[in-house]
Amino acid sequence: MMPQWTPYLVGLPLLGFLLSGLLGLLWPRYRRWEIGIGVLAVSVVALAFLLALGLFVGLPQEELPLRVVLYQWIASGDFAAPIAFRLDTLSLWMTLIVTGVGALIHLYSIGYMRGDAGYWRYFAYLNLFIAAMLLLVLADNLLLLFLGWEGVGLCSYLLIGHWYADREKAFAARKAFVVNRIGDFAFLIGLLWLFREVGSLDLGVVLDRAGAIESTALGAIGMLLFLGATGKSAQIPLYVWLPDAMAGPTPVSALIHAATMVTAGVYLLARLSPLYVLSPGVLGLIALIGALTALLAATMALVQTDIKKVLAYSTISQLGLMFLGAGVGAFSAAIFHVFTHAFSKALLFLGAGSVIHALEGEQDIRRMGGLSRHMPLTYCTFLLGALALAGLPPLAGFFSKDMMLTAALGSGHEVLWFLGLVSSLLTTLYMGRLLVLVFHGAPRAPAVSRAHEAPAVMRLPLVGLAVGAVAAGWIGWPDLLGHGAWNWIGRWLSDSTADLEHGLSLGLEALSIALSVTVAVGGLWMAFRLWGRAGLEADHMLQRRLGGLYALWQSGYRVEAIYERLFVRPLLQGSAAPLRWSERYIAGGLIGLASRSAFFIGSGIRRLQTGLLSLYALVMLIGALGLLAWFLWRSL
Amino acid sequence: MWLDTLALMPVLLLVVAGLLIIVLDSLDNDSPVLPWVALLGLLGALVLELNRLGGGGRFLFEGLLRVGGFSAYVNAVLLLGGIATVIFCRAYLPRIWHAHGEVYALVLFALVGMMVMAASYDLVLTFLGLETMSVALYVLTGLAREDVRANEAAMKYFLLGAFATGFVLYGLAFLYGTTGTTRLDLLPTRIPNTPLFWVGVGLLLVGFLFKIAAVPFHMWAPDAYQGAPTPIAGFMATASKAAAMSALLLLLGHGLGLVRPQWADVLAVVAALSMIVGNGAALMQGEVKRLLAYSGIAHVGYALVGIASASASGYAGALFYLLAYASAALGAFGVAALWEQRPDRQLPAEDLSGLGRRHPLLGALWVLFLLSLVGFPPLAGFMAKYAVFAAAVQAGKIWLVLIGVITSMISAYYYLRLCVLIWRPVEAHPLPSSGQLASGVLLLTSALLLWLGLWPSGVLELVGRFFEDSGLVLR
Repeated sequence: MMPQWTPYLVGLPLLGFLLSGLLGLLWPRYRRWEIGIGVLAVSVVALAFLLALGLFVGLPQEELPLRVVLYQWIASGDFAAPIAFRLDTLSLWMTLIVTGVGALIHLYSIGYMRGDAGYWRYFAYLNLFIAAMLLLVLADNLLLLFLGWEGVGLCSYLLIGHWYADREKAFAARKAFVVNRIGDFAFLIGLLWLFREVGSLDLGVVLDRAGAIESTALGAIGMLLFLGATGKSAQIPLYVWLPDAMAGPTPVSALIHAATMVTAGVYLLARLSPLYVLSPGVLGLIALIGALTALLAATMALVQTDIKKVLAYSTISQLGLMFLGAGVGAFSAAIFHVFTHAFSKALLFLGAGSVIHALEGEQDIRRMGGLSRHMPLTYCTFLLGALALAGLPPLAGFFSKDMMLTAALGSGHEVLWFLGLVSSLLTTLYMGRLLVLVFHGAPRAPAVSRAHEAPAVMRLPLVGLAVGAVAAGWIGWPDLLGHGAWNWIGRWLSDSTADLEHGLSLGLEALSIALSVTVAVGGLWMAFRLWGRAGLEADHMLQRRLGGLYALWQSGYRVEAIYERLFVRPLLQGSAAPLRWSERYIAGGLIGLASRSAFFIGSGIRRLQTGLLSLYALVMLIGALGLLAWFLWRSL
Repeated sequence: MWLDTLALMPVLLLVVAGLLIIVLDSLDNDSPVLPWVALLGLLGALVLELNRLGGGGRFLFEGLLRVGGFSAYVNAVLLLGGIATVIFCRAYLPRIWHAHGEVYALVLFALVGMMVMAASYDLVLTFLGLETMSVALYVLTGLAREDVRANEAAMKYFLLGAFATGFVLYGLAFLYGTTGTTRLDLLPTRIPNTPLFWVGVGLLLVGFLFKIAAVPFHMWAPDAYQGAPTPIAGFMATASKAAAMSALLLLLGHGLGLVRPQWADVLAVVAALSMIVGNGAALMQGEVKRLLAYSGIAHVGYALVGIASASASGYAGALFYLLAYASAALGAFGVAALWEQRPDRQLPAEDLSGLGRRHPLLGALWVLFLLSLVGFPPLAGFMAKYAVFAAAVQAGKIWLVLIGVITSMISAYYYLRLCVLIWRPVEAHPLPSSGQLASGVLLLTSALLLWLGLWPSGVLELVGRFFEDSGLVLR
């Protein structure tokens, strides 16, 4: 496969977007032709996946990285804006994840969105999202990467607000957009600063010259870009938008808010890892933020009653683990976790979607229960996804999580390692709780008895993802086995990432793994015992036992309220007076002056434009005399 | 001699097609076949011009004319305008009961004049081209004979045009009197620094600036466009401006290239005035064709920024600007022509309400054309503005660029208003005339806008090759 095909990876989904969008816009009858719309949208993404697979198989690892220039947009003087893509082990791997999981979720959407009025719009945006996401991961220039970064943010906004007639959902979309904007602003400042230091935003140049940047500036740039990453990847302090983003259709939550877009921050850290390893302070902060996010989000996941909210907080927590991994210098392990997490979490979301579909929109797990009898396939796949996420060996999640935790231990961050272990324990608890409350026990609502399996087009992706959730981890066995000989993914990714070496003795590694396994098995056993016996009553019991702590979790550590009091309200109140002032003096004054003077000139001209021929001739004559006077003056 | 005549084939093709139209028209009055004859001639000429676009120019008739290269590029722009005009006329004229066959002949003859202007290296020949173009346009402006407004427009255009012609002739006389030549290639070596010579240059400039409707010689344009049939207004706004602009470029860039400092500043002032007045007046317009007229005045200002930079990149930018502006303005006038339905041939802005909902494709194209006129990336208008502004910055005319940027921001106000207007939820009438061919032209020009915006380097390099690094000699 020739690397020249790379632009088609972005081009195919973009073509799908343009076709769906234009046909739907111009031809109302097309909007109702759901099969056509769905097949088009799925096939462009599937083709992109096959193309990515071809590139993956056809390009030997030694030939990477490759730079594929599509064309020069502007080339004037020193300034050039090429549209170029970078093919290396990292971008190729991310492309496979995005297109592979993306194609399955597109397929699922055909069934899930059936009968929706905005069917064509939905698929157009979904295709556009894939195009933007691929632009993000394949861009060779940070400015182009930023274009993709903003593009996925836009698609996320549009898709969260897919049912925009519902005020709540429209507000959720707006919140996601605004919170992301804060991160993006920091990101942009970081990019500009980087440009000032390096003089280019081409990845090759930036990574080459990273060492020459003065260390304070490097730290500041790293912090700014990391702040951007916390926005997109829903980390402290900017995670608050992700739970609300569940207002979007469930496949959107699976694709954008679990498997792909939210991992863009992790991708950014891995992409710029040669830059980050030069500032250990920033890395330490990243690890700390990641560990804290993982822990806090896991506690919040434990008390949610909305099936999608549980998964949302779980996503935040897992992303926290990835940031922990990146922060201790195990970038390839973090990307490995992106990979395994994409399967298990997308699977869980699609399973949740099937449940919601079957229960006609019900999302409250307190009104579920006993669904395993009515939806055996959904149950089986959901079970596999939950166990994989909980880190039960030999399912996928175990391997990547273990790789990050041993790295944390090996790099001397024992406290953070412990925090990660505790969040793993919490993960097993909330996944066990979710599984039991949804599928086991007695039905707690009449709708359950009417539940039935979703159509085949929705079941197929579940099976596909379940295979991944089981087997995806087998490409990265721990170093304990064969001294890293079986860790294929580590060797593949570390070509592109600057992983820090950590000398962990085999004994300690064995201990860490043993603890992980114990936590996974023990946690699951506890969860099944607790919720399996008492059902919902276990929640109440926990509430009584934990008291204030439980209430704190339920309130999400009062973060929303604090933000409201600290930022939103002061901003609204504080800006009222300046707003009035600026209305009067800036908008009413300066801009008003400008616009008034423009209109004044305009009306003056209009008054001159009387239609009187002699006046026209007079103006011409005055102009001619002016010209002559000028030339005479210049020549004398 | 025979070979030189052969090289003039594109012009001759138009002459023959025009004469043929007159003969056919006298046999079968207003036959529907006539626009096709015109189109055939235009397409043939376009193919011939495109064919010699890449090569260098070649002098004909002992230096009287130069074909290929620069003139091939300008002629291609002119012919594009001609093709669009003929197709829009075919859809539009029957609706206002003026589907006269001679319209097509007149359009072709006007184009002959224009193409001569773009190729001429002798000012006498340039003058002939200018007059050929002008006389044809005077007639076309007053096509709706029974309409007072059309009469007024044609009369004003004619009288002021005659006035401007007087200036040109005087200027020519002074120029010849002081240098002894009217040839542009001989001029650079013979420039005397006498006041009389510069008086001649000034008078000559008045005539050209009148034809491109630059401030303060612009006052005829809004009245003339409003009175003329809409496709003809589009023709005047694009092709005639492009022709006069290229003649101006030949005169200043080639003939007076060595004395650039003498004229660069005065053109900068004219450019600034055109941008300010054109955009300022467009703000106040409620009638779409008048608004587009003022917008055209402003765009002439932007193109003049390139010439006022007096450098190779500035001239190239101006040439690029001509194409970008022509594509967008032809499209905008075309949509206006298709949509217009009042018997008095006016198109108040409110009439556009609901266009987008009734005809989404037409609405989308309309938005695209206007956004390109605003200079919105990644459309051609953005690239064109970037090209001329970058050249002006290199030439040290920062103030001019500032005026340009501020006025284009102001222009966004009235363009975007027109963009939003069409999506109002109002019941709109269907398209008065079916214009499938016209829609094809609109699609073509919009594709051109996207192409020039996304892949500008090809055309930018092409126009850059027409000039030496010093900006002096045209190839």
